Amino acid sequence: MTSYAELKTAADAAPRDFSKATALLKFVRGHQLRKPAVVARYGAAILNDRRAASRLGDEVWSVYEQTLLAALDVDDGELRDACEAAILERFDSASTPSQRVERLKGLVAEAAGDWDAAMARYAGLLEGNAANAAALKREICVLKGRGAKPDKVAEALNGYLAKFQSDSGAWQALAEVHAGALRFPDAVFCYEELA
Amino acid sequence: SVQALALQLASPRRSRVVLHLTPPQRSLRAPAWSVRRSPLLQSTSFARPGAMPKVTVAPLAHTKMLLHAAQYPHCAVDGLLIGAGAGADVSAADAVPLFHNGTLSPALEAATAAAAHDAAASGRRIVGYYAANEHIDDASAARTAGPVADALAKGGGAPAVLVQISNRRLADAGDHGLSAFARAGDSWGPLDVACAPSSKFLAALDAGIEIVDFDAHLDDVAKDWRNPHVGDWLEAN
Repeated sequence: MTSYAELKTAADAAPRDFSKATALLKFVRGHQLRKPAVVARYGAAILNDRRAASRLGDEVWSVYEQTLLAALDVDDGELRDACEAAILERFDSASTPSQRVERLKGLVAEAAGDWDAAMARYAGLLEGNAANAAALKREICVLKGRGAKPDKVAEALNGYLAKFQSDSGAWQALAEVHAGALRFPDAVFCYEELA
Repeated sequence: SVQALALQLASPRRSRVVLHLTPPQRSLRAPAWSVRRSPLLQSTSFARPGAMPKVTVAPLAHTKMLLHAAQYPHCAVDGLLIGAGAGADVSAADAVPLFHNGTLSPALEAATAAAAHDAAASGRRIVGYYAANEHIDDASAARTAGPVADALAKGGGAPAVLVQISNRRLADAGDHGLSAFARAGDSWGPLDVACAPSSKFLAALDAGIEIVDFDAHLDDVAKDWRNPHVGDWLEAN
């Protein structure tokens, strides 16, 4: 039962050993940790190395997605463009539009601060499937990113939670919004939903 | 194909400062607050010319503060400043990172007690409170920052300084990114900040130095919130 710290130490100790880096990235992916600097560094190293990348097989696309998100976080334009290009080349076609790729395109737009373009993408996704939870959540993130007042954000989150009551991340986010606005009884209610 | 990639992490150092953009996330924990004018920043009480009070921030304190902010780019972070001095000349030698999940009083009281005890052991005290906002464009002081600083002052017996990490300014490596305020009557007046620019912090960030804040300590008490490894690293580099 390894931990993130152990995997990271192992990967740091053997930078040329891509199996350790791959294991680290897989752990980060599985546990949904947010370690953008580490993921960007090791993801780029793996994807740059032809043999390591081909050894990944189909997992390479998960690594591309993960590295793209890390590149957005650390604001590495080249890494972002390279990952995006590779993903689009493989998955983005007019005949079989991919919802996952649309979401990634929306994320890239969000990172660039282009809120309207991002909202357009998510609206497109919701047109196809009105119950697309990922798109609904990203719309709320755009709302927050634009600097909406906590009341508006809470309203949007309530709307989302009315449809998806079991989303613990959303309950936690709503609790934090309430706590930040010093509405502690409401925050406690939301935290109770998490238990 | 993979071969066609020419990837390099050659982005300019400044762009590695992770509070740069509103980070997209898998979960909903995206940046929040609206930009609002805080009464704290509307103070007009300036010191007499030539006697501008200032807070001197040591590289150790500065590095820890910014590492804390960089480690949780999607959260509002806060912490304490440890040092000496009062009134017109305060110096912050060290920083204790506190929370990134929201600051609530039970945890804050426990943390303050622990930090004050540790500071007293080396003849220092809690001199201030630092905070970084969640949203990159939010330049206002948090609603709770003033009351927390006041509570620290009451508990510690001497006024506490309020230091705000300016998110946008962090993108400039030549700027230390801090704004400081001190109690002036009913509101807060600005303080000068004497601090070296961010080069130590960027080097530590690149070296992958991770900071343990009180939230992490509460999750796993084996983790040391005093972060001695940061001081050791700074001495060695």
